[in-house]
Amino acid sequence: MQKSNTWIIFIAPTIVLILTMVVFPLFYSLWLSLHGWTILNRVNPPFVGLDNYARALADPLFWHGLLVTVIILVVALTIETLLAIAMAMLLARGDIVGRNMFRVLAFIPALINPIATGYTFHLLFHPNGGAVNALLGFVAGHPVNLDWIGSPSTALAAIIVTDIWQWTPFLTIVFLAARLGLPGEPFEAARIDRASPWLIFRRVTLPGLVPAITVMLLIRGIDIFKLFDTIYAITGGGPGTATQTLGFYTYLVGFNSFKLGYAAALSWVLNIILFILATIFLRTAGRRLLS
Amino acid sequence: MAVRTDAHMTEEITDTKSIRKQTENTTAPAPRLAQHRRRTTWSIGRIFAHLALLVMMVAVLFPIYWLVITSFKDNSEALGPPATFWPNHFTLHSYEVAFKESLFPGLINSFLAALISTVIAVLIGTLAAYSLERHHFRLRNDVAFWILSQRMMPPIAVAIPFFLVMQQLHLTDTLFALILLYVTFNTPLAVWLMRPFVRDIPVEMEQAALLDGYKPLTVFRKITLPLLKTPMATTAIFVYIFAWNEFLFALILTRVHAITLPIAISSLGGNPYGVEWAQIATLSVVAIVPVLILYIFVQRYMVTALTFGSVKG
Repeated sequence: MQKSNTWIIFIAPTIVLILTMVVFPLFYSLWLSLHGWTILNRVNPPFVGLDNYARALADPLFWHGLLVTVIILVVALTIETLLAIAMAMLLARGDIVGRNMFRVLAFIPALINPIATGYTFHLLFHPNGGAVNALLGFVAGHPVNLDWIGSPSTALAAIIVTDIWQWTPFLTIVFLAARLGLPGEPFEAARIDRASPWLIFRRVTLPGLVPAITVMLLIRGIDIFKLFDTIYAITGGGPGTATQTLGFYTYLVGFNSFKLGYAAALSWVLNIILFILATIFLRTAGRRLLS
Repeated sequence: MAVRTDAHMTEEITDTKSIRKQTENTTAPAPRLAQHRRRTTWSIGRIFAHLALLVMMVAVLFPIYWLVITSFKDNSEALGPPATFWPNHFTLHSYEVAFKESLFPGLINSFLAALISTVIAVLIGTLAAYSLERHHFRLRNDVAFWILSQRMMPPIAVAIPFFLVMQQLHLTDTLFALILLYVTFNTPLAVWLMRPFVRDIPVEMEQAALLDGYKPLTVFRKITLPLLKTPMATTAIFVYIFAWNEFLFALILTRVHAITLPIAISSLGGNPYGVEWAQIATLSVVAIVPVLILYIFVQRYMVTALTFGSVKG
């Protein structure tokens, strides 16, 4: 029957698009990563084998980038997840006024332009006219002149705070929905047994939230390895190299130094990390995704 | 069935009408009033929960508030010191300057790139979603996952080779290159958003039409497509927002002619002769407002869109 072949026509544009626009470039990038493409060697870049990868492993900035990424990942995700779970627990009460309004607001930070968000936080953390110092000064009772973006540790903190602002409300909504979706009987039973709220949370609520938490940690983990826009707007990777994540360093190598061969090798390392994360994600969420 | 969660599962907390219903309860007959009164007792736990909620809402809104008021300050006041929580000199000057100097061509380019790529991505994404849902071919799940996995790809990995290809084709700094990339990176999202909607359409009508001898393409066009109008609009809004917000590809592929709004913002931020913060804030407001308006229409699908449908909203 002719019907049996129609699906090919329907799905063909998508597949052709991905093959030409993603798969082909990735192979091209693999080829690049094996060649010494620089601004001087762009016509016939010499074949260098795995030199670019060896160079990455010996490059302190590569390891530094990885470290910065992991620090953001661990700190931001820990704070976001704990805060969001706590908020979700508070909002799970049936008698909260304004929960719908919060739901409306909660998605906005995750949705608006990340470059605008980045510059907004740059402005907020600015040593002179920033609101953060003004608010701290108000609390402390004397003027505060912290140069947030100018010193390495606080610059990283500014990036992390921005990420927390963008994603904690979103995670709260996800965890709240997961909590409200749990069956009520175990909670009833625990209450009849006079279990303490903490015990109910640990033994009933938390196990029920684990699937949602796992999936969100993976998605957010992938996001943080791709983090670029807010870093560009807040610190530009600085001061020095303090906030250069692996992705940001790859960008700088590629488009500031125009060592595209080396940058391609770095991006393949990033690819492999994300491939592993994505595979775990698809395995974990796979059953639900396929329904 | 599990992916088809968003709309139904979340009605309880999505529907803003329920707020209105609650307030109407105040004027309801006696039994309801009693219930209402019971609900308004303020235990310590409840007060604490509301305080936390209030703090969180203020925290969400404050940076946006700061951005908006900065756009109405003059440039010297924008950076202070001192930090002013309300403009001393409320002025539209930044908007005038933006309109004359910095807003164009970024705004038009952003609009065009997002719009054109959205139309294409939603069209081919809908076709793919239809194919994946209606034809249970071998490798169907593998193809579906393969399409989805494109969204997890780091953009920088594709940007490097793509930049070289576009340079060789003399297509850097053109909207064409940007649109091509936006279509590529948003089609998987469109496929993933459209699938549950296609699944919700009863297959019987299509089967009947096929039995009557209509060609599959005609069946799709005449029967399925009209039913998918609203879902396609929803999907289009998401794709539009993501294309509108995109930064890295635009940064790498555009110089002068094809710069988008985020690039216009970032080039103000990189001005070596002093950053005009009021200008940056103004352009940022322009970048955010359309998204906030579009957001109203797709609010209940947010969780699905941002988690690939892997989490119940």
